[in-house]
Amino acid sequence: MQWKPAATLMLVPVAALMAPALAHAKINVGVEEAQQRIFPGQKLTQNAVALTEAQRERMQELSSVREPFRGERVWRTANGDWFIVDEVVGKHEMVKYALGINADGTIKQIEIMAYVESYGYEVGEASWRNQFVGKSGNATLKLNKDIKNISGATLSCKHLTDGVKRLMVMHDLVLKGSK
Amino acid sequence: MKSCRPLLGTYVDIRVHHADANIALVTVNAGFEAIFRVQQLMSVFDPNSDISRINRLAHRQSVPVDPWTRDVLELALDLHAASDGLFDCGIAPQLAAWGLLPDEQHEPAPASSIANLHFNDVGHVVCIAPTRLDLGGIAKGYAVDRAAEAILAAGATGGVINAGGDLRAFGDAEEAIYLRDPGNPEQLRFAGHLRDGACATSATYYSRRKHSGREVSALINPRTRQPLANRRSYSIIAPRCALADALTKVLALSDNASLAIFSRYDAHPIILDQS
Amino acid sequence: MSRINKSICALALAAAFSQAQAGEGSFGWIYTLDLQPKGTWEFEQKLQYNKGQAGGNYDFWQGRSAIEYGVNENLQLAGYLNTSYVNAYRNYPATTEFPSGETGGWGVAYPGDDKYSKWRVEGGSLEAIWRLSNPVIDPVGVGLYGEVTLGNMKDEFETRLMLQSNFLDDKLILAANIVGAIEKVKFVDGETGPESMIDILLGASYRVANNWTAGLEYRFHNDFYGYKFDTYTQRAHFIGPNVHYATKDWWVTGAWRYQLGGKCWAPNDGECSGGMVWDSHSKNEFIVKLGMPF
Repeated sequence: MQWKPAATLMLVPVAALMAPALAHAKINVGVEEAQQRIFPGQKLTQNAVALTEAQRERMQELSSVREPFRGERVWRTANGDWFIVDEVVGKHEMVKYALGINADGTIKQIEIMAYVESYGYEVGEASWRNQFVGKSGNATLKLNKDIKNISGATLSCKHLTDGVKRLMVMHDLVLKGSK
Repeated sequence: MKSCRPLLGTYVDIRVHHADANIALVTVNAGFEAIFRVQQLMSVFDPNSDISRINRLAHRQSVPVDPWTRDVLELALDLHAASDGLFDCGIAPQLAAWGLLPDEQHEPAPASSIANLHFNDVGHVVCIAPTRLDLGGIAKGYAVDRAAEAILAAGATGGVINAGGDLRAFGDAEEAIYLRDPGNPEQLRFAGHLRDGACATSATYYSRRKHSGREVSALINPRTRQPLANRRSYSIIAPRCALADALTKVLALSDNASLAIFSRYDAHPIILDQS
Repeated sequence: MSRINKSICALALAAAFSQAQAGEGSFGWIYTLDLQPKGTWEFEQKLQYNKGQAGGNYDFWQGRSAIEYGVNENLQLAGYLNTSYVNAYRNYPATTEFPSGETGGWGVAYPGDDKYSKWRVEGGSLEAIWRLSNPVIDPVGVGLYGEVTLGNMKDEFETRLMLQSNFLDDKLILAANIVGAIEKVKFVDGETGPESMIDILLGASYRVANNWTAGLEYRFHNDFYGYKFDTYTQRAHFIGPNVHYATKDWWVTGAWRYQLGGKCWAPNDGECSGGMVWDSHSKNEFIVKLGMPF
C-alpha cells in the first residue's frame, strides 16, 4: 500500500467533485491537483507573465483564440518546465485546462480542469489528451488534422486545440527566452 | 472502463484499466461476480446464506460454510480479540430491534457475540449460545477485496472499486481520496493519494434515523449496547478493504486514533469533526 | 482509461443523470446546424402564440412536441405531435355580410361573426436534417432539411437550405434558412386548396454570458396559390429578438417577432388590412421552446 496523506484536510465543496467518474456530470479539478498530475512530486513556483499588446495580437493571429489570457496563471518547475492554466469557450460554459510544457519546449501533457457540458466528456480521457503529448511550438495543431475530433464536442475540441496552440505560441514568444 | 451496479445494499462502481475495451469488460464482470458471490454467502437478508444458517442453527448443530465465509469469520474473530471486543459482528439483535435489519422470527439471543463462534475439527461453524451475526461491518470490504483480486486475475492492470464509500485502489491505479465533512455532507475534505490500498468510512450521517423519538445510528457500542450519536466521521486507510471496513467500527466506537490495533494492521485512522 | 481518478469515500452514489441536448435551438424560428450527436435523444416542446389581427380578438396557439435523435454525426431525425388552439372574435375587417367585423383567420373553420374557439390535435410531422458542413469547423456550415406534415388543417412538405457561419470563438452566430414549402390546405367542406410558400429567415445571436445567448431574427414571408408558386398572393416582413439559456441538462429559448407590414394581391377577402397580412399571421408572434435530453 502507498498512502500519501494530504498536508491538511482542506474543505472542498462536494459540487466541485461529485461525479466525473460517477455520473458524467462535470469535470472539476483544482490547480494543485492538475499540477500534481502533470508534474507529480515537483514543486512549482508561480511565474506570472505580462504580455505586450503585440504579443497578444500575435497569439490571437496564430491561434484565432480571442478570449484574453490571464498572465498570472503560469508556473514553473525547478527543471524549467512550464505549467499554464487557461480557459477557452465551451458550448455553454468556459472550458478550463492546464498545459504542461517540458523545458525542451515539447508538450508534457494537458489536463482538463473544468468541463460542464452536455456531451463530449471524452476530452478528459487520456486517449484524447495524449494526442498533444510531444508536440512542439512548430506543430500546426489543427482539429481534424493533428487532433481528432470528439462526437458531440466539436466546439470544445476545436477551442481546446486552438487554446493549446496559443499557449505554445506564448511559450515561443515569451517563456522560452526567460531564464 | 467504468461500470456501476446495485449490490451489497449500495451502488458498486468499478473502474478498470486495460487498453482493450473487451478485456476490460471481462475483468469488470469478473469483479461483479465476486461481489455477487460474497453477497449470496453473507447477506442476512437471504435466508439461505451461510450467515442466515449460522444465525438459525449454529447453536444447535454444526454448520458447514464456504471457504470465503470462513475467511471473513476468522478475520472477524481476530479483530474481535485484537480490539478487546470493540469489533463484534454479533450485535445484530440490537439493529433488528431498531429496525435497521430484517426482524425474522428468531429466538432471543441475549448473549449474542462473535466470541460464541468457533470452528470445529472439520471446519464447520459451531456457536456455544444463540448468536445473531451481521457481517455488514466487514463483508462489504471483503467483497471489494475479492473483486479486486478477480479483476487483476482476469488481466486488468489496475482499477478502483467504490462500494458506497468502501473503496479499494489496486494495481497501477492511484486515487485521490476525499472524505465527507460529517457536519455538512455537502463538503468534502481532500485526504491524500492512495495506491494499492483501501479506504472506508463509518459515520452516523447516513443511517441516522428516529426510533421511539430517539436518534439511533447503525454504529453500536457492543460494551454498552448504546448507539453512537455524535457527528464525527471515522475513516481508515488500510491495505485491504475488509480491514478498513472493520477497523472504522473500532475507530468510531473507541473515538481513539492511537489504539495499537491500527498500527498492527498497517492502518491509518482519520477522525473528522464537524467543522 | 478512467476519466478523472477521484473518489469520494463514504459516498453513496448518485444515480447517473446523464447528458443533455445538442439539437439545441438558440433561435426562435431559424434552424441551426447544431444537431444531436450520434445515438442521443432529446425531447423538445415548442409553443407558439400568434396574437392580434385587424380587430377584435385573435389568439392562435400551436404546440409541437418532438423527439429528436442523432442517427449519425450529420443526420438528425425528429418526430412531432402537433396540437393547436384558436380563439377568435371579429378579428377581420367589417364586410357587408358582417358589418361589425368578421370572425376568420387560420384555424377558424367557417366565416361568421360569433366567437369561435377550438382545440385540435392537428396531426404529426417527420423531419430530417442533413449537415453537409459544420460551421464550427468550416467557414460556412450548410445543411438540408425536409419535413412532412400530415394534419387535419393541412398536409405540408417543407424543405430548407440552412446556412450558418460562426465568428469570435463561435460566440457570434449568423444563420439563414431559405424555406420552400407546398401545402394542401383543408377546408371543413372537404375541399382542399393548393398553396406554396417561400420564406427567407435571417438571424444573428451572440453569447452575452456563459449559458446565455441573445439575438435578432428576421422573416421575409411569401405565399402563393398553387403547388408550383403559380400566383403570388401575399408577403409580409417580421422582426424580433430572441433569448436562449442552456445548461448541460436542459435549454430554453424564447423569441418574439412583430409584423412590420405586408401586402396581399388575391384573393382580397379580409386576409389583409391596414398594410398587414392576417390569415395565419398576426401582429405579434411569440415562441417558447424547451429542450431536454433523456
